[in-house]
Amino acid sequence: MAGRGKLIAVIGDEDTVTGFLLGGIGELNKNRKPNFLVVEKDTSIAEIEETFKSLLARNDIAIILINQFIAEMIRHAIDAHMQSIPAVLEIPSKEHPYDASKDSILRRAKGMFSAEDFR
Amino acid sequence: MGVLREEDSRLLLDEKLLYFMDQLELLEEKRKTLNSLIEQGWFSISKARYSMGNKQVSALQFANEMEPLVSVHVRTLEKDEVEFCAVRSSQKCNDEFVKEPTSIEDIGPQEEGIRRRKNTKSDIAEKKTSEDISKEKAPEVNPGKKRDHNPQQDPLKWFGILVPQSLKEAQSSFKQVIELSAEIAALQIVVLNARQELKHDSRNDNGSTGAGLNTSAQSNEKETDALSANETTTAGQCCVSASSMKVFALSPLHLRPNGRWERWKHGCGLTVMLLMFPDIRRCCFCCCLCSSTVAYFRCASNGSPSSSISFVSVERSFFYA
Repeated sequence: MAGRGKLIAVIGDEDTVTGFLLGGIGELNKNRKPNFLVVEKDTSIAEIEETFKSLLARNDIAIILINQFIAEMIRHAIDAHMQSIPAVLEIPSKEHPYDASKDSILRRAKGMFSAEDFR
Repeated sequence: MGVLREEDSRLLLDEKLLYFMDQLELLEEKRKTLNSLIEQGWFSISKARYSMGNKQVSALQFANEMEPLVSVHVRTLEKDEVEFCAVRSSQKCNDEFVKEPTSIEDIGPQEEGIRRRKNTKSDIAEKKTSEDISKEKAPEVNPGKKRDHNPQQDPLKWFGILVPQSLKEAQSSFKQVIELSAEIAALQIVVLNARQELKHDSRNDNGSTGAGLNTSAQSNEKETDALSANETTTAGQCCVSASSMKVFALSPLHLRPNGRWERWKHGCGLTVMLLMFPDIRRCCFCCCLCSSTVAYFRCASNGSPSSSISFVSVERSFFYA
């Protein structure tokens, strides 16, 4: 395994995390915090936000995958994240299909267009 | 000479805009693929759960110790662009493979060393997505896949020795999703950078011609400070009735006499051109930037005081060219 490769983290509901862990991105050992979080009905927003921020603080994570409905809960934290790495990717969940208008990245890309831009 | 330079810069701006739109479209397409792959994966997991039992396919089955099989190599290029390359390790304890990256299943934009070794075209633009490159790599990728996975590594083993086909299908769907996510991550950054560049260039361009540009939040704040004196004198607030907005939005070209275009700015930073009529009292907006439905506007740059109403086609301001 290449030593300098970075990880993919995932914050999602059980099925999402199971799927991605099947794909082989999970890391769990005694020394470090896991790079995934299963969000259940009783998971508090504070915990989700704390996990998200700790993932951001780690320098060995390249991509954070997060279900969009969870992203909505911590939208302020995601909007505040301006760096390129780690990249935050919002994915749909079983109950909540992907909504492009909620995606932070697309909102940032779309926003601020006005008549003056094209004069 | 000055005029020529302006024209050039405008052409450049057009090109950049087209590039931005292309990348955005590509991003949307990849997202669609990603979303459908994820949904396929969930469906397969549900099928597996149906045949194996609820408890057999759940978070309870996760191993106590896991090692990541996929690592992402991040490379920052010039112009703040970042390339993500998802690499799957087929074998764990073999030093040869660590030294020889060609044996690893390479997905996504290639790192320079590998690119040279595999004799890919040297003029591959760095901004190019990985699709073409991964197609070229397909012959090399297959041998890697056929290699046996170290059984202890395969997460499929957490769910038992004999797992149904649907679970394997789920695994392969999610593997594809992981590859795609790396590409989408890179593309997102490209899109954001292109947008920034566009904003920056159009501001410079307009700056040189003297027109004001109020798109960034920072400049909005400066504007507001400068205009605070004006704001109090202008009737910036309007209440809305949804029906009147729809009527106008549908037929923006029905200009009434005595109408005058004015530049107005929303609190969220969106600047719009509003057609002001002296006799209409109320109008309704839905800001296309922040999606707020109750819009109250403050008067921007020219500070034309107006106690009357504003018609607007907010959508039109988005596509105004």
